[in-house]
Amino acid sequence: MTATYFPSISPTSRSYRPGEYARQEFESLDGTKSYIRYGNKRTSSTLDLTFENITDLQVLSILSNYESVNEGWTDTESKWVEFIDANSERNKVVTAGVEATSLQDFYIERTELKWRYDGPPTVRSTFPNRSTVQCKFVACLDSP
Amino acid sequence: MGYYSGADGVMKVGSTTVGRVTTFSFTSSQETLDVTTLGDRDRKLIGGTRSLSGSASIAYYSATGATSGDTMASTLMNNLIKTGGAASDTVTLSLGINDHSGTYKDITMTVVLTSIAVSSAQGEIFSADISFEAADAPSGFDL
Repeated sequence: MTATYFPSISPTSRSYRPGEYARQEFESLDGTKSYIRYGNKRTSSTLDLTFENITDLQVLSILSNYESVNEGWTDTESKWVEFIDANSERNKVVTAGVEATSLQDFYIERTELKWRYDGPPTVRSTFPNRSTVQCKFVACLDSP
Repeated sequence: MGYYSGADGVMKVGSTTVGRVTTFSFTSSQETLDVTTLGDRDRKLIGGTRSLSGSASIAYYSATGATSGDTMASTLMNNLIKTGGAASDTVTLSLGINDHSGTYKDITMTVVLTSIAVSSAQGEIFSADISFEAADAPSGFDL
């Protein structure tokens, strides 16, 4: 398992959902509900990041990150995206504008959840040397 | 002379000086690209697409011996107004002044005529008010 650091670029907008707890719901004819829980850890968190009017070099760094996260997987080794900068501990990507560190922990997913791309980034060219990039991530629990 | 007035202004269409122009003006503007990110408390902008537009008022003139510069109002009308569905023509405009040494300093650009308003009123000269937008970056600028 290998962490790949996302480039340190501040997003223009960020949308986060903390994920759900695995369960199944049964509703009987009289309307009562029963739940069967399969785990006590939330999973499938989602994170949507938009980077508006960033430079070509910044776009390149995101696309390169997408490639490096998704290449070189083996039967036993996978990769994931890490938003914690190796040098500064917390980089600007998911924590920009968030002052409460406990909230930052949610966005970073300091649990067993691991961020991976939920599809390729979308790049829309807006101006010479400027593009808008949208990235979607999903964080899941890896099987042991 | 350090200051200049309307008497120093020169408008050319192609290489022809417009003889009956009464006013001209142009405006250069630029859009902005917002590069503000999360965490910023102040808006951050960079320059975007530039554009140039302007207007001129030219008196309609026709007389025996009138030059092409004198009849430019008619020429410009014919560049925009076409019969039979023909395409309009772009125009090369130069707007500038003759400076203290007599040197012509101007901005030159190919423009698309966007409107021509012609009015005839009692007590006023029959004239054409034209508006234009630059079709590309100026080809010359030494104002």
